[in-house]
Amino acid sequence: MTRCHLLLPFLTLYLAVAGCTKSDPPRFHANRMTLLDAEIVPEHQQQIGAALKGLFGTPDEPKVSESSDLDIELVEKAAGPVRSTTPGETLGLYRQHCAHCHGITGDGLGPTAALLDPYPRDFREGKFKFKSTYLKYPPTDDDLHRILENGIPGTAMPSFKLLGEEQLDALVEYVKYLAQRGQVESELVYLIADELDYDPDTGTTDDPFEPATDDDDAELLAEVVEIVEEDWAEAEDQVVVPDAEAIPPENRTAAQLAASIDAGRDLFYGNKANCVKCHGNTAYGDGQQTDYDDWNKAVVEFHEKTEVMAEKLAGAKAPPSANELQLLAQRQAAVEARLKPRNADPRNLRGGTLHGGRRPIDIYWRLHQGVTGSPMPAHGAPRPGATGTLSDAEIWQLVDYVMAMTNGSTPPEGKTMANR
Amino acid sequence: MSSSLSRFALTVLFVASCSIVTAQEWGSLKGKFVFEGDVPAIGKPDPGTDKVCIAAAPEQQKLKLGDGKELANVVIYLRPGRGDELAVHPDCEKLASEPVVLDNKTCVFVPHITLVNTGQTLLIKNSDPTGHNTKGALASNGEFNYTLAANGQQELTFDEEERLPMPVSCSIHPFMTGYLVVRENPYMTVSAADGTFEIKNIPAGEHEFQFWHELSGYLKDVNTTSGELDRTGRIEIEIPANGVVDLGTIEVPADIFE
Repeated sequence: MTRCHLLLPFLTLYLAVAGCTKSDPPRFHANRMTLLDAEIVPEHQQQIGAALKGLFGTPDEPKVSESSDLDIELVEKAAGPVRSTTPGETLGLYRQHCAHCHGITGDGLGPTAALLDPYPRDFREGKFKFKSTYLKYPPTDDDLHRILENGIPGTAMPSFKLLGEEQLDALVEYVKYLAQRGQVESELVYLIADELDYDPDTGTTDDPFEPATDDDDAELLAEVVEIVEEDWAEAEDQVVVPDAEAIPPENRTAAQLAASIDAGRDLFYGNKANCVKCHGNTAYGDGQQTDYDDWNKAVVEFHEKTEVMAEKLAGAKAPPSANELQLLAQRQAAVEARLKPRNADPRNLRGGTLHGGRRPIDIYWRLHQGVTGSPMPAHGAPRPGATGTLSDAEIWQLVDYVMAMTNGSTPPEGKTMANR
Repeated sequence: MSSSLSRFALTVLFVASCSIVTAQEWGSLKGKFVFEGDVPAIGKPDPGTDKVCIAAAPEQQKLKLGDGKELANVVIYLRPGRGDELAVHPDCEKLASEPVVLDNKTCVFVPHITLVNTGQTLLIKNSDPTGHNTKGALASNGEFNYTLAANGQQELTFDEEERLPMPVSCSIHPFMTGYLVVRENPYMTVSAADGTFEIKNIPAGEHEFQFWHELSGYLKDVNTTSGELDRTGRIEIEIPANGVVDLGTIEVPADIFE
């Protein structure tokens, strides 16, 4: 207070606005794009917020459901303000290490996000690129651990190996907590849009969402939570395990390795594996470059729809209603709040780094199940026992070829950046 | 959205009504869509750098109109109320056992909108001499994205119903887009090139039907002979036993399209 008092003559206006009192605790931000897309009315928005708070608590006081596999003690260690109660033990790890890029809500919109390329991951869809599981499943704890330990080479995501196992465990749990919270939020929004009656033109509903008092609403909410939790619980059983007989032995001769690399090159340029289509003739990533990943595509599509809406309102014969103008303004603000979408650049395979790790098994998993949320498709079977486009033996040949490329090779003779 | 419990219940019901022919009676719903107003200009897609696609010169698929502006690719499906038990016609066994084919042909998804039941096999084919991949941005079932060798194929099945038609795309050729409708019950269809549609063998009684087109989303406030579709493109219709409800020629005004 003393300092405030001394500064008063200089900062009267500022203090009149901000005051010297303690700031409000941070809140989770609502998923504006989803709410606006579904044209959810204010009453339902508040009810969704209340339901989420009931289930997941706040950034300072997190909760997990009774049925959840999440370890609340670990979540609590990572949550809240950075603080220390016991010498040598730091709490509030997420805010200390992650929130400045990934944001308090895990929406990938922390204060430094705009400076980074690629942008920090938005956890709220529960989609993670670098994992060992079948495409549609979330990552395992080990997958998330590996990312925290190694970082993502070639991006701003650093290694947090020095934090030690215990702190990494807490952060893995908190990332899962934010992901599940985000997934429940989106599911709830689309469920309410589908199941409950409301009128976006008047902004009202006679069908409130009140899971605390209404049995039907409680059942809806429980189903949403169950579906999200089930997927995460199943992840550990959905790891892609390579066929032991197809794994190349460690004692291969130079000639055997060279033959495998050659076979991998043929696959790379052939129309079975199709790698050349996106990674390009040179494998510098000079093929198809105009697509988006899911996170950026959502912003692109939301933006396009907003533009169409603006044009339509501008060209309408009757003057637009106050509600229409408000929705447009809210959509435009939501676009402004997002980072400018970027195309998904196919990876430069000769650049020396591979985002998802450079062990053979990492490359195997990328090839087998693709890269979730990105344009990179799966080449292996969609589930155990099914047939994929490439056999395990062929995938390992491609692994050898990719590893040979990242070890500093130049494009084969005659292969130029034809598509540029 | 459905819990595993209600999925189980539906499965039991599905099996029961397939194997035991009950006194259940059936009716049909039909109609024809016509586009009303100025047709928006939608250009041909840019086929990019793939020689096969350049030669194929694919047409736009987002708005398909006949010579008399007959509107194709309207999706119509029965939307059972939560917890409602829906009888399924004996033909369902045959329906469910046959795979649904989604072909990549001349750099176009054929059909543009694919209808599949939960548990049914979706056979994604590539009839082109170039590589494709098919990515489905499904919500309840999670994402899929599989590479397709030239003349290759991939089989998939889905456990969960999707709430709306979900986008399908090819990352190698991003101009290729389509939709996939995944429903637990077989009462769904897409309007044909001549704008007509018919859903047969619907259990007699009152049902809610959903109408959707990719450029409008819900077919909002559109008039039919059975009344006006609501804000979310839905309408309650009484399906008579052994009868047909004909919604007549349904004029879809241009201003609901993007």
